[in-house]
Amino acid sequence: MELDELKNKLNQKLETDHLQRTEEDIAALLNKKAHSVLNKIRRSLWFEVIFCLVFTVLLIYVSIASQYQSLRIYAGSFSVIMLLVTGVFVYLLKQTNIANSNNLPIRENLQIIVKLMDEFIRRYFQFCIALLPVCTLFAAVLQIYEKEAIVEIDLLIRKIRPAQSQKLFFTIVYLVGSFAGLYYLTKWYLKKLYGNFVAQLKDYIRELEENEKE
Amino acid sequence: MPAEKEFIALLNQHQKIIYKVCNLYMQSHADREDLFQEITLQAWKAYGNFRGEAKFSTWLYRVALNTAITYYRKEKKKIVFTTDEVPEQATGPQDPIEMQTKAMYAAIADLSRIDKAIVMLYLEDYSYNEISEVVGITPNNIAVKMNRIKGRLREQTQKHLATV
Repeated sequence: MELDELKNKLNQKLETDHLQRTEEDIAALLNKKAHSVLNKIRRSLWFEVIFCLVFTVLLIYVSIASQYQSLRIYAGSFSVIMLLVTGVFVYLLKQTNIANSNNLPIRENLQIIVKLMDEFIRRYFQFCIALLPVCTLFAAVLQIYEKEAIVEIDLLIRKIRPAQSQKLFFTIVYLVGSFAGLYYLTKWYLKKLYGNFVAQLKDYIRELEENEKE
Repeated sequence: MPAEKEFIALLNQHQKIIYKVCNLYMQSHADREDLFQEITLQAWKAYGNFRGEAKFSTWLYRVALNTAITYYRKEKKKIVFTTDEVPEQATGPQDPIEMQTKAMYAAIADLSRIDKAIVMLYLEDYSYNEISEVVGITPNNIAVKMNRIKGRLREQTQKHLATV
């Protein structure tokens, strides 16, 4: 038997197996928390913005209060970077607020969500990866310009007494390890968090568009 | 709030639409309840944009299907849909039409999320033009897809019937 012949029966089946809700039940539902992916991203962005602002305040404090010049420059510069990053997160937050696209056609809605999520993933990845070269550069520059010795580190070096080649080897291993670790860890984390879902949504868009190109 | 009251009254009147979408997209009772809540919330958020250009039922289908298709959950074990989960009717289990319906229902449950949306609107007797407005692709494309879906459903229904 064909789909058309079973239309009524199927409609009946789809309408059954549910509790009839009253207007009070529906009103109570309106006060609950939404779990859509956009809400999840919005919550995540709010967390990032708050974290960035708190961290910036701490950095500003260090840049004023530290007795070491290198730490003051480091914290001061980083507070500027953190403020720029906060700006990016606020921009993304605004975009998610605008993208209340559920009443658009399915394809358009999918395209908007995918575009937004791609941008979020890209910016987040760029931010994480950019931190390492910035930190390395600062470490290199500041160790040259630091006027006051950091006693604890000097004591540690005096204790270990590494040779020049050992220092170079350690630095290279540390840098390569940090870059590779951060790169793959961030990629893996973002893929696990949103990557698979975005890939699924892109498949749906492809599915919708497949015959249009034929 | 008059808008909230108006929305609740409209939703109450059309809640079968949400149940249909929940039944089609979710297998377990708990998941259906979660999706019902999510669709209700998303519809309420989008209600400010409802201008009355389309029928409320069409608008609600759009919101409900968008929410169901993009519904994001932590990975769960895939639940295999069986014909046993379809609510029993008064007729006996050996009724051939009943068995056909169950098999067809199970075949629909195996479709992709996009195809489910198209089938759902087709079952509601929406024209290809109306379906294309909800889905966002051309009516011709809808017609092509619907033909393919019908073929797939025919094949899958036979398979399901063979396993009963």
